[in-house]
Amino acid sequence: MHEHARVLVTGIGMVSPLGPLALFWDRLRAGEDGFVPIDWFDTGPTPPATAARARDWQPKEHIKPTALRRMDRFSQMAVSACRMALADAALAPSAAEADAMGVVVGCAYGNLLETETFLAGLIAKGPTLANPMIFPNLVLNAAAGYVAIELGLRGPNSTVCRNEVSGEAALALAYDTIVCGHADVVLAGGGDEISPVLFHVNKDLGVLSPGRRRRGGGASGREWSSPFDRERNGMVMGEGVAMLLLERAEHAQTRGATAYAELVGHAMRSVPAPPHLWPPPSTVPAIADELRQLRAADEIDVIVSCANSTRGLDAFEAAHLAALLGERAPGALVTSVKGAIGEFGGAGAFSAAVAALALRDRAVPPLTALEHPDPACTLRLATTDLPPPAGVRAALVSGTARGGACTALLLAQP
Amino acid sequence: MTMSSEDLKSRLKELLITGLRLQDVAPAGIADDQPIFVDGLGLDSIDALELVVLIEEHFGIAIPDEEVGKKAFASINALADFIAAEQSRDA
Amino acid sequence: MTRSSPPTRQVVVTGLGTVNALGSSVGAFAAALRAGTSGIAPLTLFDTAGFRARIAAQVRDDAPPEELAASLRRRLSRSDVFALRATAEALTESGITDVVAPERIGLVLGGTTGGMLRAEECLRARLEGRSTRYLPDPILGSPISVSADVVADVFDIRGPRLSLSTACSSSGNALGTALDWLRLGRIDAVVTGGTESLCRMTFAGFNALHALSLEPCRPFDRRRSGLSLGEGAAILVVESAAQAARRGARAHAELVGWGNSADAHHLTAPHPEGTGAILAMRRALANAALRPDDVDYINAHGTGTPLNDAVEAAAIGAVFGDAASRLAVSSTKGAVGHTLGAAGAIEALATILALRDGFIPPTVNLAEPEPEWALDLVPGRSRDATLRYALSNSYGFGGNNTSVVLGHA
Repeated sequence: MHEHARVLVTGIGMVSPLGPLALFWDRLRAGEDGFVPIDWFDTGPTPPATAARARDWQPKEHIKPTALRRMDRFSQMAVSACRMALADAALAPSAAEADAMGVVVGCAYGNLLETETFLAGLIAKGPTLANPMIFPNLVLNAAAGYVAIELGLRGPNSTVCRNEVSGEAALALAYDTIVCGHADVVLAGGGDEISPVLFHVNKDLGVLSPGRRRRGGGASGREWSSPFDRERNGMVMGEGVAMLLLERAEHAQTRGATAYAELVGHAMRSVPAPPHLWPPPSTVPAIADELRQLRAADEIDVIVSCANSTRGLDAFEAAHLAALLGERAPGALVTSVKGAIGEFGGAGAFSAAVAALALRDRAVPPLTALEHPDPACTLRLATTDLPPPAGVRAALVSGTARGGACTALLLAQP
Repeated sequence: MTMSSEDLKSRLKELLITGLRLQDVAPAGIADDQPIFVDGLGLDSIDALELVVLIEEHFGIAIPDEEVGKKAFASINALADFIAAEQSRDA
Repeated sequence: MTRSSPPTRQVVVTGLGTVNALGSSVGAFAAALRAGTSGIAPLTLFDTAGFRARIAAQVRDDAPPEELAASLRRRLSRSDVFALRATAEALTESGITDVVAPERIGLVLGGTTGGMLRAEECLRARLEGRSTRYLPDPILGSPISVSADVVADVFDIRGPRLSLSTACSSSGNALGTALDWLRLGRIDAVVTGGTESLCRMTFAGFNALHALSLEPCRPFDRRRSGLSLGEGAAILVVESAAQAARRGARAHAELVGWGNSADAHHLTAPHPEGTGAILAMRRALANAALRPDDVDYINAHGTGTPLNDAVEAAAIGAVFGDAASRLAVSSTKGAVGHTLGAAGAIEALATILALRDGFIPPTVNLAEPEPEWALDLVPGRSRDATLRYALSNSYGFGGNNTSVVLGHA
C-alpha cells in the first residue's frame, strides 16, 4: 500500500431531469421523478415512450453564443455542469490554478445524435458535402475539450468510456490523478444524452420497461422505473451530466473550502458476463478486500446502487451487495437514482453526487417508485416511510456495467 | 436562374446564420461590406470549410483553393460578386 | 504547478504485440521500421469515390484469431480483432497469466472509433430504408469500451478495466494510466495499449476538414500537406521491474513517466504557441524525474499537417533548448499512418523497439525539412544508435496532449 493525499468533494454541478443541483436534491428527497412522455423523436407505434429529459436548464446562461453554436448538446451539458460545480465550490481559479486543473468526463456514447446527422449527410450528399463543423464534435472527448477551452483548464484531461459505469470510472480516474500528483484539483463526472438510435436498440432488446413484446402484440404492462421492485420490468432511459469538483485536502483547507465528503477510494474489478448483458447474480466481483482496506464495512450507512429496474442488473446488485456487506453492514440503507432520472452511461456520476449529498445532509433519498421490495434483496431498501438515518458515516457507490466491469466508490464524512 | 443582387445577399446572410449556426444574429446585423472572418462573428477556419461546402451545395459553385476562398469570403459583397461572376460564366 | 511524485517502483514492459499496416507481429513491424518501409497504399476497405484522398495505411491481414469460437468471431468489430491479435502476441510472449491471478491483472486501452465501421453499415441501412430496425449488436458494440470487454473475456482478465478516448492521444493516456496503477499498487500487471480501425466516418471527417494528404504524408517536410490515416493495434504488458526480474521475464524497455495537458484553445487546431505540447513534455519529464539532456530520441506526433508539425517542432525547441539539436526526432506516421486512438501505443512500441534494438526509425517520406527548424529529423533512412531515454508524443482533437517517457531496460 501507499501513503497518499486525501481527496475531498468540494463542489457539485449538474444538468439533470430533476434540474440543477438544489432542485435535483429537493425533488429527489421528495420522491419526485423526471420521466416525461417522449415527444422529441418518433418512438414507434408501441410502448415504451417515456424517458427522463434534462430540464430547468438554459445553455445560454452558462455558455456565450459564439461558443454555443459549435458545441453539441452533450458538450453543452458538460460545460454547464462544470461551471456550476466551480461556482458551487466557490472556486474562481487563478491563471496558475486553471493551468493545473484537470478534467475527467465519463460517457458511454457521447454525441451519438450528431454521429447520425453526419453520416446521414454523408450518405445523402456524398463526401464533398460532408459537414466539417460536426465532425470534430464526434470524438468522445469533445465535451472534455470544450470544458478545457471554455474554462481555460490545462491540467490532465481525460475521457473515460466504461459503458454504464462511465461516471464511477471517471471519478476513480480523477481520484488517481490527484493521488499520483498530476493535479490538485480535478473536475470529474459524466453523463450521456438520450439518442433515438440507442432507444430503439434497447427497446428491441427488451431491456426497456415495459419489457419484451408479447407474441403478436405490442409490449404491455406498466412503463415505470422501480429499482429492486419485485414487479420491475425494465429500465427507462435518461440523460444528464453531473460533475464533481475533487480537490486535494490541503488545497481545500488552504482556501477555506467546505467539503461535502471525502472520496476515500475506489475498487475496480470485473466478472465474466455475456456480451452487452449484465453479469448473472452467481458471479461476484472480488472487491471486498480492497474495500476493507479503505474503510471498515460496518461504517457504511448508505449504498447508492446502480440498480436500474432491469431484472438482470438488480438481481446482480442484490447478490453482490449482500455478499459484500450483508452481514457486516446490516443497517446500511440502499437507494438508487435510476428510479428518478433513468439509466444512461454516465449516470454513476449522479450516484456519486447523491452519496456526497447524503453525507453532507445525513439524508437518504428514498426509492421513489418502490411498491413491493424484491425478496431477493436482503439489504434494507430506502423506502419513503423510513425515518432519516441517525448518521451517515460512509457511503458506497456501487456500479456494474453490461459486459461485467464493476466499479465501487467509497465516500465518507470529510 | 440568377436572383437580384439584393436577394442574393439576403440569401447569403441567412445561409451564414443557419449554416454556421450563428446565435443571436439577424440578417440585418450583418453589414454588406463587413469582413465575414473577423472577431465580430467569431468565425474560424472550420467555418470557412463549412462555408465552401454550403456554397457548393446551394449554388453549385466550387471554390478551388484557399486563395480564391479568401477573396470570395472577404465580405457579403465580395461573396455575392463572386457567385454572380461564376454563374454568368457558366451561363 | 503540481509536482508529480517521483517514481517509487521501476516499471518495465515485458510483453509486446501488434497488428498494423507494416506487419502482423512485432518482428515484422521492427524490420519494416528499420527498412524505412511505408504501409500507405490505395484504400480498399471501403469505396473512396468522391473523396479527395484515396490512400491509407490499411491492415491487409485482418482476420480474427482462428481459435475463437464462431459465435464470438461473428460479433467482433475490426478494432476488436486487432486488439485480440495484438494481445495474444503480447501475453504469449510475456507469460504473465501463468504467474499473476486474473483479478491482479488490469486492462486499460485507448481508441476512438471502436466498432464504428460495423455501426456505420447498420445506420446506413436504416437511413437508406433498407432496414426498419437498428441491429443491436453493431450499435451496442460500437463504444470503445467493447474492445476491452472482448479482450478481458477472451483472456480472462479480471482486474480494473478502463477505456480512454481522447482522440489521437488515447493510447498514450492509456499507457500513462497503466503506469499510475502500478505505482499505486492496485494490481500486479497491466495489459495496455490501443486499437483503431479505419471507417468511413473518420475518413470523411478528415476529408471534409481538408486534413488528408492526397499523397502519402510527409511529416516535417516543407511540402507537407496533410495526414494519412492508418489502423491497427499495439498492446504492451507492463509490470514492476522487481516482479519481472523475480520471474525471469525479459524487459524490453522501462516505462518511466508520462504527462498530459489540454491546450484550452480550439477543438482541432493546436495552440499556436504549442502551450499544451510544451506542458505535456515538461510534465512527462518531471514525472520521470529526468532532465531534457537525458532524452536521446523523440518519436513525434508528426502527422504531416502544416500546423501540427510546425507547432510541435517549436514546442520541442522550447522544452529542450540547446539539447534539441543533440537529440533525434522522427515521425513514424509516414510508415504506419496516423492510427488515431492506437497511435500512442503503436508509436510507443516503435520507440520501445528503437530503445531495445538500438536504432532510430526514420521519418519516411521526409525529403526537405523547414530550414528554420534546428532539429535532426532523421529523413529517409534509419540509423543505429544507443538510446538511453526517449519520448513519444501524441496530440489529439480537443487539444489533448500526451507525452510518454520510455527508457532502455
